Amino acid sequence: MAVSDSKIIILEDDQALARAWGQLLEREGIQALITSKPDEARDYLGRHRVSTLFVDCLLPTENGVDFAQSIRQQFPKEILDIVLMSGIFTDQSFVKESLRSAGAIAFLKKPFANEELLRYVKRAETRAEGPHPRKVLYQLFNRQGASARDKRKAIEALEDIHGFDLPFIYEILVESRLSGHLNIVADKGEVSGISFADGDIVGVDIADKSTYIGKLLIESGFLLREDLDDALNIKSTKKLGERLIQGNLVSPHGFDIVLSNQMSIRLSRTIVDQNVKVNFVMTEVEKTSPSISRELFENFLHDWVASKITTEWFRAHFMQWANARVVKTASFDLRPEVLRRPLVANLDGVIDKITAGQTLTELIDSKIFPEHTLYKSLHFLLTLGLISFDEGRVLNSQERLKLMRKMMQQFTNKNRLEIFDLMSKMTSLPESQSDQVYKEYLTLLGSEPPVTEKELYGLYGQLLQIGKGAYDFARSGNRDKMKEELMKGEVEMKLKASTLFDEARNLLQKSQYKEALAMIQKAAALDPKIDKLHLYLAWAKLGTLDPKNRVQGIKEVDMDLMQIAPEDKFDSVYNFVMGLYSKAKGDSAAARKAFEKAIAMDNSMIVARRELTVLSSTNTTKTDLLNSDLKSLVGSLFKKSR
Amino acid sequence: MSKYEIKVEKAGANANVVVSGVIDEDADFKPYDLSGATNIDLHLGNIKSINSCGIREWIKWIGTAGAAKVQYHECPKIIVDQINMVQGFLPSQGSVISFYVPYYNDDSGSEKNVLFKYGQEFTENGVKAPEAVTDESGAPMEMDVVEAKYFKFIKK
Repeated sequence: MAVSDSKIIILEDDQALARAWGQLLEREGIQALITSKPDEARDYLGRHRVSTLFVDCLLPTENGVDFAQSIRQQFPKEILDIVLMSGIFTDQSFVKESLRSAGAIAFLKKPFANEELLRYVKRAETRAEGPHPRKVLYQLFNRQGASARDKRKAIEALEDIHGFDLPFIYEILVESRLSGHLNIVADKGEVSGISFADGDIVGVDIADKSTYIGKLLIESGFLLREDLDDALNIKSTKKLGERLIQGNLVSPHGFDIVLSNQMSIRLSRTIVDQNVKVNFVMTEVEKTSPSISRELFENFLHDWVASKITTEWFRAHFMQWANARVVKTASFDLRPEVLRRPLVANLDGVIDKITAGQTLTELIDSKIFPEHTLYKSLHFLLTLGLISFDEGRVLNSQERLKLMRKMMQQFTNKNRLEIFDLMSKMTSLPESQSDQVYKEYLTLLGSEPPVTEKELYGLYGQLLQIGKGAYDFARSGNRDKMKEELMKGEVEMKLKASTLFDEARNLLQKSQYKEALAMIQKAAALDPKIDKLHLYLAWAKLGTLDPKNRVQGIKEVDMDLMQIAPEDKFDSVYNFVMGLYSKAKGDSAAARKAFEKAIAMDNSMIVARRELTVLSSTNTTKTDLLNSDLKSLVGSLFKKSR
Repeated sequence: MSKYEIKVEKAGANANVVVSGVIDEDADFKPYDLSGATNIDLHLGNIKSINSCGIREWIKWIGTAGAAKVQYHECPKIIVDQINMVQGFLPSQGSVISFYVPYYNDDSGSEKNVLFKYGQEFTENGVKAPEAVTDESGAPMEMDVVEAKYFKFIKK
């Protein structure tokens, strides 16, 4: 909180002194309320951002120390400095006790020099310190001029972050070619870690020790299920991979590819919708195989941004750049291949439109692109450092009003707990750091608008009050109780959603696509985070494709497929859906291959067998080498001949 | 050659432990059970790195100290980071006797670790950093950590 954005209160009943201090602060350009009435000060504190409160210990209507104590209960030390003053009560024990009880930073014995007063006013300015470490991290959206050390320091300064921040942190470590271990601690205390060797990811250690190796080998086309079963039946102390390679069933290179896919699944599992703590231990790390190179990493990054990060997070995350414009960075022209990625290519003309000079708010409001896909596209390009935000201009009153209305809209019909959750998301800080969240929320609100701007001034005051109410609630014991209640409600919704989703899956098996689609959409409304939602949505949509509107329909399916998490792709249903997708696009060869893979992974998959039978009765077409699944092509190259 | 080394010297109820090198999945703490000692001093100044597997192993190992009084000496930054972040890395009855604070000179890029000792540069009440830290050429150096984060363990 910078002094220029906040105000000072001096609670003093000596008229002459009050007048002199008022003049002094005015000369310094500092806004202050000078009053002798505690109620007036209290009211002012509720409506304005105040950085320092000076209180005379002996007030005509109230004990100054008691007053300060009551204020301290509402505003912690991080938000407000309290300075006590007295010319009468100056004995050491009184000073000591009142400083303690009021949580005051100083006790000024009157008379004191003007410089003393200014010193404590300025202290608030220095307390404004630098931006929060997470903000510093995201300043690296524009990395021009940032050294590897700057980037490392930005990561080292972090502690509490959100799981959705991890892709950006990985990108910074990969791009800076750093070596070391990124240790991650989840909410429940589980420790996981990623090892980097000169920018390549060489190790992913997560609590879930599932190997997925068998599934991955079959899915990648390196191995048939029968071969895997044979290898698993051999009695040997050797690891499965060694057995397969020695038995000449898989090539060492092919096995490496599968191991790096395994690594990618584990990496993807680290990107969770919860707060985590991180620290980076810079050290020499040996380059080992398999590893994830920068080029490969970019594929994963794309998929994580497309599939893992929620719109709710994006909306709150991007709030801090609401008035900034998107600009291309110097790296933009160096990476033309990035523009061919679905997150960019699927939004026609997205680069021209986002760099046309509109602010982020204007871009979102223009609704040229769906909000969630625009955020994803932006975040992908920002993460890779191809675009960044400009400094952000000072908003005029109309723009500010618009922005505040938007904030208010987000708060409407929400209880104090939900509002505080939103504030936590807007400021990208964990709810547990309530003081910090409130402080950053105040920064987000900006300075107080002039009283003459009636609507803006009123809205600002309301947002201030709403924020303060939610903050007070967050610090009270009621918060946990309410959270429990809300969680109960949430569990009920999730159960309902899960039942609907199960029914929809049954309907899909019976080819009742329309009914299934409606049911999935209902389930998604109840629980947008439902597992494998986009996979089954794609299945249902492919079943209901309107031949007259095929292109648009396939585009919609494209968006769903893009939002399937990488770890959900090593699954028989995914391969089956990819088969339907290829069939819809007229690529029978790719469709056949996908159905075969689905059956290889789940021998009892009747729907896939049915599709295969239908395909067999029609003529096959040539494989589309340019558009077929890259993994299948690579797989066919590295699979050992039988 | 092993990437890490652990030396334990026991004298009655006291154990003096020196850990050095790389603490990762290969670190085997099993032979160095700490039970039985009531005062354990760990000297950690030569630990070079620690990853997530190492952290998990460490927590298990330090748990074998039971209710013993555990004191960490010469903690490098990587250990301070874990103490701050990972519950159980420093047992609840443990304390830090000394730790290193990185300093940096922006102009020359020189780096230096300054040892902060309990009772001198820090106590439970806070940190009293040396008034001036200089590099070899006498140029002033600045503390190279986020204080609010780095010194958090002191008030735990």
